[in-house]
Amino acid sequence: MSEERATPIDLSPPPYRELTPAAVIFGVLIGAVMTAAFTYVALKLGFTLSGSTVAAILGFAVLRGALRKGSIIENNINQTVASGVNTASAGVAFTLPALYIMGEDFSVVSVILAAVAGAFLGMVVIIPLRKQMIEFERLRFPSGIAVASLLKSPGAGAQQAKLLIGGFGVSAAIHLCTGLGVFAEEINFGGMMGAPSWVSLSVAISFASLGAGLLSGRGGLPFVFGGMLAWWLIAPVAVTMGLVPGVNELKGVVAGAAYDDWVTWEVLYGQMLRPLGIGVLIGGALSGVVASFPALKSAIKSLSNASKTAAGGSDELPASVLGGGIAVAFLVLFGAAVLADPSLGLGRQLLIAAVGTVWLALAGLIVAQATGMTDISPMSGMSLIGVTLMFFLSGGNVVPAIILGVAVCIGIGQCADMMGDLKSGHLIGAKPKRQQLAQLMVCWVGVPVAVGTIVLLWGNGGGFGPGNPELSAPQGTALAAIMESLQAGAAPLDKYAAGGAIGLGLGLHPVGGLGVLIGLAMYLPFSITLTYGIGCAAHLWLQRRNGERWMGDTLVPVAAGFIIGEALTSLGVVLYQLLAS
Amino acid sequence: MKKMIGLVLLTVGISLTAGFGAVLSPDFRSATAKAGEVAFADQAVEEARETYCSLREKFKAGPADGCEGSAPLVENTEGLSQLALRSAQLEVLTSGEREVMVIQISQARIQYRLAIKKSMTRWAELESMGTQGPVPRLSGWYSSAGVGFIGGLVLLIAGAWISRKAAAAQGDAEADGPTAEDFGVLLDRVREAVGTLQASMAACSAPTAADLERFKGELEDIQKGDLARLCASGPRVTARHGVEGMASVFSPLSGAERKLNRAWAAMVDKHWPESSVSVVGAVAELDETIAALDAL
Repeated sequence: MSEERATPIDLSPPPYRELTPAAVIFGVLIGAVMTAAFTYVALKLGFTLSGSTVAAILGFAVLRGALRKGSIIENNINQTVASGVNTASAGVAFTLPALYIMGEDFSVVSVILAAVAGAFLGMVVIIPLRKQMIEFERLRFPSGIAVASLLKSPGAGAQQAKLLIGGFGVSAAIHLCTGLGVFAEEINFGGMMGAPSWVSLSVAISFASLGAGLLSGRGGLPFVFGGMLAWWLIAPVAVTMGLVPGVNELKGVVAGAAYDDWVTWEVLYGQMLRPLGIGVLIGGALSGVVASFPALKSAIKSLSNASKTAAGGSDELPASVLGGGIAVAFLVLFGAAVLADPSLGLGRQLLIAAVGTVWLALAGLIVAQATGMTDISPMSGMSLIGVTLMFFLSGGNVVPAIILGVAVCIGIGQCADMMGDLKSGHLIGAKPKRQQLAQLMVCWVGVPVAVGTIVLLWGNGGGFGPGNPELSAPQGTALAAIMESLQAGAAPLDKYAAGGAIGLGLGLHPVGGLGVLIGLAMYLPFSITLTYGIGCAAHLWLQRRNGERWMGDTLVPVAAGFIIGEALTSLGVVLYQLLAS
Repeated sequence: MKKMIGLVLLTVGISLTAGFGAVLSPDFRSATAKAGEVAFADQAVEEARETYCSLREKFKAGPADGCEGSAPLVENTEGLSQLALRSAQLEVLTSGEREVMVIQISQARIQYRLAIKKSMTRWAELESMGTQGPVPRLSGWYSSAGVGFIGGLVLLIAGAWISRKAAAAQGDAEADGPTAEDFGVLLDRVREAVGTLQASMAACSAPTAADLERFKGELEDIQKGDLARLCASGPRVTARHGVEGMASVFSPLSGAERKLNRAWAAMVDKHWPESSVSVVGAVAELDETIAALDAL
């Protein structure tokens, strides 16, 4: 051992491995397999999984283990590529099935075109935001920190490795028990005390949420405040003051748990808090753009400087990539709008492409910000607004609305994924330009895989959907129902407008992202927020007790282990459920 | 004091705006109540169907009416509204009442039929109400909750604005206070420590694994100590120099931080040239940070 330590190290080794063919090819392979598998999972269970953690672990096994030549940063590129490919699974599986379920005629080529444009657009609009979110605002991106902890584990020392593994073990064991039904997924303290379900006192048993709170600390407290406001103030006041239909107003309905559940989930959550939360998110993000305009300007200036620097001299992608990428993606989006419905007319097709581009950028910013602050992505809400916008712009035409919705959904998924990977990259010293180039090269790959999976599964008709208990496509079914209600003329414009005004007002507060945090809390069931809040409170207590250095050395690996443990066990539980069915 | 006033106004403002914002427009509220009746009536249909089917199975009445794997009451539901579907189901169930059955099954069938009839009535009422469009819904909401909402919004904006002013004043006081550590002093200290590390690495002509381990330890001390505190002081720098000033300083500072992280990763991978180049790059970025701070 001491001999090894005394041996001189190689002073002229081959160049440091970063963006290598091995990392890209292996990343694409893992990503493509994950995309097909997770698209199927999304049709089956209604949710999909993030690929970063799985890819990082496989990268360790193959690049560092089997090939024995991978560097920490090369593994980051591999994980960036794999998760970038995999973002298509959620984007496609949550939206495209609605077109099949509704029995619409459409061109698969236009879906692929729109989805590819969305993927590139999501990538390029996030380029100037890297500096803003990671270097200036220093958003936490808990999953990004968790992946970085994993990537850094070979050099982090035995003690930190033990803590990471310990956190992983605890989280995995607990999640396995909840996933297999040994424990309930949440502890309902309110129910134990006989409180109705609209007084939410449930805590989700989720070590990933706890870990995200532990990593966020004080910055996550407004999120918890928003949840308390929604579920401990607005909900009880709305019920007790008769703002929701009372049991006596409903013919043939008696008071009890069924009525309480209906009021809680269908009325308070579905009609009041969730749409209001979406509005607050949008208003908060818009005011955030205005407030951070000088910093954004500086970030774009830095990209312009990168263009002037000699080739390869800067770590940033030049501004021309941003401008050119937006222009090309806009054109492809326009092409998709033309193919989706040639009868729409040139003006409307151009408008759809322009609004789609702008909405994608804003929604990408919102999702990246929310993920950065809390690790929770409001992707479905943002996609819903995107589809609604497209529906109205296309004059109530479902096909272009959903096809452009696919693009928006994939684009905002790319934004959040890229930003999380860039955070991991920052923490291990990867060059952002190389990460972005790697993802730009492959971000389209997942699209044909995911669309192909959907087309194959649909078969000759009825391969998935509400009539098929084996593959019910819950998100696609929900979107189809929403489209039908939009066709009937329903849209909660009042809630979006009120929420937007609240979010804009909150933008004046000195705490950045306050509107996004409060909106996100209204958008979610409280049990998740409460578990996250317990993590934030524990962070503050531990920080006061043990100091900042202890937090970095001890708390970060444990919390990272919590997040990784739950992410990987989710995959195991899903596989088990699929095999068992 | 100002901070407290701002916080109270903000809290009251958010509560009022969110509370009034959540109010449903009167017409939409009525439609929601009717939708609730429909949901409960449909649930009753499903319960009645389950009871009927389980009794058929118990008394071995044979598969029929969607029970025990037989075809559903209405097979082709495409294009049918809920009301039309219920009507068709009722017709099938009524026309099949000539089947001879034990009394329990007959009673369950009657209950099933009654439940469908009730659901049909509710669906008819809901469909006659129509759907309230987005604009009428907005104006309906505004007429019932608009005043309270606007009042809350005024309080929210006032609270946020007072909080902003109080935070700026507090930032100045902290930056000038006796316990405050000057950003520039901290930055100089980090620059000196990284410069020393660079010099030590440059002086090491035949580094061993033990040397790398030692340099990695020194680098970790910088990263987890002064550099972490420096990078966490963005809000204070913003309060003092504005967002643009903060961006001009934090752009090279974050670059230096990332290069030091890269040096650490290269040290773990035992790649001496990359770690040396990264530390040199970090020193250059720290010099740029000092220059940017001086320019403010």
